[in-house]
Amino acid sequence: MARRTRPAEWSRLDNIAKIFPPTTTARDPKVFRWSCCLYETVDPEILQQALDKALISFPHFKTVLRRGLFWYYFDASTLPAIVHQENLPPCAPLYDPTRKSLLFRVSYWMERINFEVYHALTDGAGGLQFLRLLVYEYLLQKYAGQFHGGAPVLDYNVPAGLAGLDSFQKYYDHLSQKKHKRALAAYHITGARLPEYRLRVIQGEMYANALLEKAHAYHTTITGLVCGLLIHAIHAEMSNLDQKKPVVLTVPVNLRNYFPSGSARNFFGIMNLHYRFCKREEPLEDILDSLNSQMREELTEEKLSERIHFTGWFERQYWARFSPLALKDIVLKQADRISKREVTGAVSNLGKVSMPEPLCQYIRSFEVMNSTNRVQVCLCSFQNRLVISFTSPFVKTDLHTHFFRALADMGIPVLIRANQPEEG
Amino acid sequence: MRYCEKCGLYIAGGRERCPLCQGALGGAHDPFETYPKIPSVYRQYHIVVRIAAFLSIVTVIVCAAVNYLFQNGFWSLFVAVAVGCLWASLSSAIRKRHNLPKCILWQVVILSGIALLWDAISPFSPGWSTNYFIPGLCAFVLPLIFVLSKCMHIRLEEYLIYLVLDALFGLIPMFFLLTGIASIAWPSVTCTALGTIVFAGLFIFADAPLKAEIKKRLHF
Repeated sequence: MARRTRPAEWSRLDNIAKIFPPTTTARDPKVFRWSCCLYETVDPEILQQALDKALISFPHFKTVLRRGLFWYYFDASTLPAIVHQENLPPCAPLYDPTRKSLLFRVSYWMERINFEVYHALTDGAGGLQFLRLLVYEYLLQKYAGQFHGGAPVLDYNVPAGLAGLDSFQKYYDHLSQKKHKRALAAYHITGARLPEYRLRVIQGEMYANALLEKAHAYHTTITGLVCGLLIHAIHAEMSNLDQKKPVVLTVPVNLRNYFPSGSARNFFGIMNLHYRFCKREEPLEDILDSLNSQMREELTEEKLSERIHFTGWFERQYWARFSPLALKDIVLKQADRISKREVTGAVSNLGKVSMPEPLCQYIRSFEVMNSTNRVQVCLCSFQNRLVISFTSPFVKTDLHTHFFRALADMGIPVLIRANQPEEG
Repeated sequence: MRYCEKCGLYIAGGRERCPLCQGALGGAHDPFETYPKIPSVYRQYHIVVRIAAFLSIVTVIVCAAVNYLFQNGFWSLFVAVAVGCLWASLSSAIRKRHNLPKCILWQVVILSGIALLWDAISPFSPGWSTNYFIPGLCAFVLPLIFVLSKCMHIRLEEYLIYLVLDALFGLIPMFFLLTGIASIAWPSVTCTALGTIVFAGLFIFADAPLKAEIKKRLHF
């Protein structure tokens, strides 16, 4: 009996991932979604074949999350990954502690392929690598006869074993250890929430060069401009009393750009950008100037490696390592609650998505969104199409309206796509 | 693609009103929706569970009221404790229903606790829980987990840990016996012997998965 059953493979959660399982709730299931829009209706059968092929390179995605006595861990699973037509709200929960299920799902809707994944498994950049491979396999299969000069090659070539490596371990250096400075409570957006913890998704599609030109005209980057516009939009609905509190946006930073790594696990740090309002009418330029100087300060290798040190610190403490998981859950939940107090919303720029040149003609756009308890803006671009996805759990749409109207007022044509979370 | 004059934005999909300002839209309809409409599912507890919960509360209140009016002892407290015990066991079973071996193991722990409680508060033949109930339950559950897991084609790795934990739990009656808490020897001895046999069996026939499972569960 024993000789025939091979001991199943398992792996630890990477450094950042450890915070996700204890803080996953119905309100914030910690799921993000990458989508790719094609120019034609998606063929489910080919998509299924593409998924099976893509999973060969990402074996660590075929896992379930389980509880050990001291830590959570990923346990290899034989559960099948089946593609299905989109039939759940965007970023619907994936991790349910009471039942074993895979931590990602692939669905399709009309011309769109969706890849939703639990954040403990990977981060935005890692998730994108998977979707790129999935779309690559899909198009290769679908247009098998079209590539005369041989099949195009995808530029992501990390061996299957390496994609599952934890890069935090690699870059952790316990020499310098800075204390986390306690920040003030930030302004929080309030209001009635959508039923069933649903997420409102409003996306704006625009030309990347138009937005970039505007950003340059304001002497900032696209991330800077989007953060500025979001803060400006949030300010529009703040009362005078609220203005005492700063607006703080969390901006994740892909550490792969600073520390070489091919990991498809979590490997990101965060920086907090804040702005405190003094006047009722604050011009966008002032906000952008302040954000610019903060970003210059935060985005240095030294600052970012401090982040790695900080996240590596917790799991190297003996008291933390040997306390049972149930106790860790409570501590991490509290830590998360405190850090959430300091944050108003989040902006995540996933940058440019590239695909092999011969495949680009079949792809319209890429888009990315994240589940959130507050407000979250995620953006990415493919060729000249940039999609800003605005997610929030609130019924009201004032923020979205203010944000996208500001873009339209700048002379950038914006195409809006929205889900209808109230109907159904 | 439609256009909202008020917002100055183009709107995709077949909707009548602007998703941002709810204003009327101009321009031609798009043929399809950008997102599917998802029907509401109210994930509330099943009606049977809710009726059972309501009846439990009614029972406890009625008993307490009758008890108070007739002033005949404190029997309604026993009813309340009984209902509480029932729900402790039931709610655990409902929550863990997707993992049968785990569900069974939790029932062993909960039912043992309940037995100890009733043994302490009820006047009838003290010691029945440590003498008979707990050893009997542990001994009964060992083959139960094994047989059910085999029947349901649950992989060895998935139920191994629960078998081990139940065998470990089965050592507690021996402790009762040695410290004099239990006075009747044969149930405790049988249970501990069975647990030890299961251990030996696992070590001999499933040593590799057992070691792997322990390493996985106890990594720090």
